[in-house]
Amino acid sequence: MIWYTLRRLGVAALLLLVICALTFVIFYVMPDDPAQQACGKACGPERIAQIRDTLGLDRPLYHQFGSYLVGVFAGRTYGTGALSVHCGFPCLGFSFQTNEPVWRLLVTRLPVSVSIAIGAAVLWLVVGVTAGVISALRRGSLWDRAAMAAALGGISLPIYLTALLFQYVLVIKLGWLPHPHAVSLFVDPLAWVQSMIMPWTTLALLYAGLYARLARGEMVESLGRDFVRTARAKGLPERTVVLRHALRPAMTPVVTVFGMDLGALLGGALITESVYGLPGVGKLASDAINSADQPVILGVTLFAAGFIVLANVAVDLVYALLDPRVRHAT
Amino acid sequence: MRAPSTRAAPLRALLLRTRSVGTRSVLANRATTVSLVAILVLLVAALAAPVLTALAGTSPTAFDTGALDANLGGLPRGGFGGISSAHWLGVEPGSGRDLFARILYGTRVSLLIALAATAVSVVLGTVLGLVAGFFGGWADAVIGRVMDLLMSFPSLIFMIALMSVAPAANRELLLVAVLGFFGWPYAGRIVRGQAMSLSRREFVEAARALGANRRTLLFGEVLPNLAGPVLVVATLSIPACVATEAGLSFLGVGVRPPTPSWGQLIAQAVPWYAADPLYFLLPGALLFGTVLAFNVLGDAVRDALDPRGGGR
Amino acid sequence: MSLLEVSELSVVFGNGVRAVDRLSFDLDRGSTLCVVGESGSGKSVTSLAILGLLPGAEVSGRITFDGVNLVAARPAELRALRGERIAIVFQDALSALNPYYQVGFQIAEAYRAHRRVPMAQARRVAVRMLERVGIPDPERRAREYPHQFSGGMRQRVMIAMALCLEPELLIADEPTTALDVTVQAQILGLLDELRRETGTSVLFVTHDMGVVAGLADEVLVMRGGRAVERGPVDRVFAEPAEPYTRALLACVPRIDRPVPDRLATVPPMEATR
Repeated sequence: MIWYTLRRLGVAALLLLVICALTFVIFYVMPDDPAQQACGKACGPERIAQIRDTLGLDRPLYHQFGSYLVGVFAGRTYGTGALSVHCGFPCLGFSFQTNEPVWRLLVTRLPVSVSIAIGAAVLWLVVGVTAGVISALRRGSLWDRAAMAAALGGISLPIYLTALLFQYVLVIKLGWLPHPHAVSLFVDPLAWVQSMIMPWTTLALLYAGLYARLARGEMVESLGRDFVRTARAKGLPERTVVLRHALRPAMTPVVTVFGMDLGALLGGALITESVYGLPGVGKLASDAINSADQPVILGVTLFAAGFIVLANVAVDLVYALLDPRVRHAT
Repeated sequence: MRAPSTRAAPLRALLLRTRSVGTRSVLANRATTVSLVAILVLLVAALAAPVLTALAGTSPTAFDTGALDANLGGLPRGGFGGISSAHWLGVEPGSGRDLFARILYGTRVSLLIALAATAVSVVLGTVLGLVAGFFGGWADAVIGRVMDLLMSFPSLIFMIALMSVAPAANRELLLVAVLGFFGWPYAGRIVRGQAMSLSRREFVEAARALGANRRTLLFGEVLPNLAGPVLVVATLSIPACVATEAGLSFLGVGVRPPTPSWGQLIAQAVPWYAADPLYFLLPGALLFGTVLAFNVLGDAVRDALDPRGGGR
Repeated sequence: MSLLEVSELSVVFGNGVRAVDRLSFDLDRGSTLCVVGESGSGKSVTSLAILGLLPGAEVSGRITFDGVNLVAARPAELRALRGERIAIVFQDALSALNPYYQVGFQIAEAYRAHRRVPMAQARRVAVRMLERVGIPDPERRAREYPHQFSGGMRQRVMIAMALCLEPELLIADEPTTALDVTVQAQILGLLDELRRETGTSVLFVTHDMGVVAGLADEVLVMRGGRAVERGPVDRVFAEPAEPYTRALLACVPRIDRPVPDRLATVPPMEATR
């Protein structure tokens, strides 16, 4: 188990390094002149040369990448002398637009994204998995057909379309909900829920359909297993047969897929936030894209990549904990 | 292959998603027929876009400020998004361009990108999957690792980042390349698995024993048997590509104006959604309907090809 | 009165296949009945029908266990019987045991389904049962998972699970088919020994005439869901009345006779629907 964990972490570290290198190349090598971008339009050649020097753009590529990596893991100092700027760990650079450290921007935007993501995840897991399991237990019933048709609709509905529809119907036409805005859970819990319910539902709708289909398929397969028949043959109550013997194996793949979706969730949160105008990490990224603020885009990408890679490791470990066969095979 | 162990675990689970849900009924068959017809109509409409717009007497790029009401901040004249005999689906607020023509040309762009990207990923996935599964050895090791890497890659975020710094020219081609590149491992994995098991199946062994060479085996025995699974992957890849392209264009990193695509049209409609809901509803409904139709079709193809689906 | 009386039992599956067709037999307390036949003859379906474990199939006729008709029994009545008075050992222990739970727990769970005892006590029963079926180091093995056991050991676990409540009837559904010949002999020996100790009646389903000879009091030969021949084992082996039984017996290669040029096979049967 320890070796397994270490090996997974090693692979994750390698993956992160590859992602770092790729993003670095994309953002600092592909554009014509990052210094020009950093400085803006009205900018003299003298100032550009100075920025180029501060960012270290004259030095060889591997050197630039090296200092970038050092910055991420230990912090770095741009420039020398009076003009030098220290960027503490973890240094993802400074925004071209606001000159704030990217890391601080990320950290201040994170709570909004996290509350959208967690709320949506809880919603879709509860609704999707429950609907799928009930469908599996009542295969062919009206409920089953209706739920599966709804699920297919759900997975075909793009997030931004749902978001626009919700806003148009619930906010503009019916006036049942306020426009979503950033409210702290701790200041005004009711307003927080009112504000978050649309983003949660929007994001959850897509995944609930996916999970209902997944849970149904797994549960149907699980219910047909020999060991479920054994459990019945032992005289266990039907509730124990279903919950203990059929549900547990069916949930293992669901957990795995969920772990992988934590990564996709960020992409979804990005779109959700930008439609509802909520100031999360996603909004930060979409604003940065619109203003070509490359250090911020790079920072968000790396942050997201790191999150996804670590989530994948966590999933593999949870998988090993859930399934004794995997645990002993490694 | 190592059974349900280590890194195969999450990938296995991913492939589970493409497994049959198995709801078969008359209703499902009818839904499949409707979907197929809808897709064909859409394809024909996309192909005939120049003819259709000519018939309607419009163009996707002509500005018609006469259809707008300057007093209302550029909203279309008359209700319902400015639907009139001149503009069958109304006009774009602010510019007065004809929505029917823009949506039609947007359909062309969105479908073309999705189909081309699917073609790229399926061809790439089939070739590399075949090489990996049929020849094994180091080819399999390398291709397998690359597929694992790509599938655990945060691809959407990465696509957004990549497209945001990419040059403004040839966005459509770039989208096809990016979508195709990140999509091929899904086809690749399935083809690899099938090729591996097929090349050990009796009829291939028999052909080998009869002295067939590798090429005959590959093209005569293995490839024809892969048609089914590849068709399923392709059918399900199309809606995924449509949705991803629309998402990227919606975020402003996909297709850029003046070229229309569904996602791009919806993005343009966001500032107007409260005053002129038809502007986002029309391309949105088309996008939803198309993705749904392809998903229904994909399910049907899979159910038809998966013998296990029948009993469930 | 017999412990188990089956009369006019028919099982029809949803797709119209008639797996068992008007089958009748009975089984006395303390005796062993072997049901033999080729695969698809309906012998396994019969054993599942007794436990009411055939969802989606239409079961008709009577299965009387100790005076109660199981075909008409309510689900709760059936559940109370399963495991407690009628237990079953399946063919493939690897798939019949839940891979997610320790074997000790799976046995304890069977015990606790019918006895209101604390988990710890049930676990002690499980360890005792594992010891009784000949699993070395039962304390430790009880905490292991099915995939950590060999095929023979897994089948011992299944037997321990089936016998932990001392059922009156044990159904063994091809319990040795998936095992090596030497392990087969061990498991058969174990079953025979436990049967003698507990006095349990056994319904033994097999396609192996060799197994029948060593174990059975009575034999029921099945083909296409119907009973072909029934009688005491000595009589059936010595003078089989039906050509099909003769054919089945002829299929068994004998060590005390010269090997024929071709092993005998059973002639194919017309389809019965």
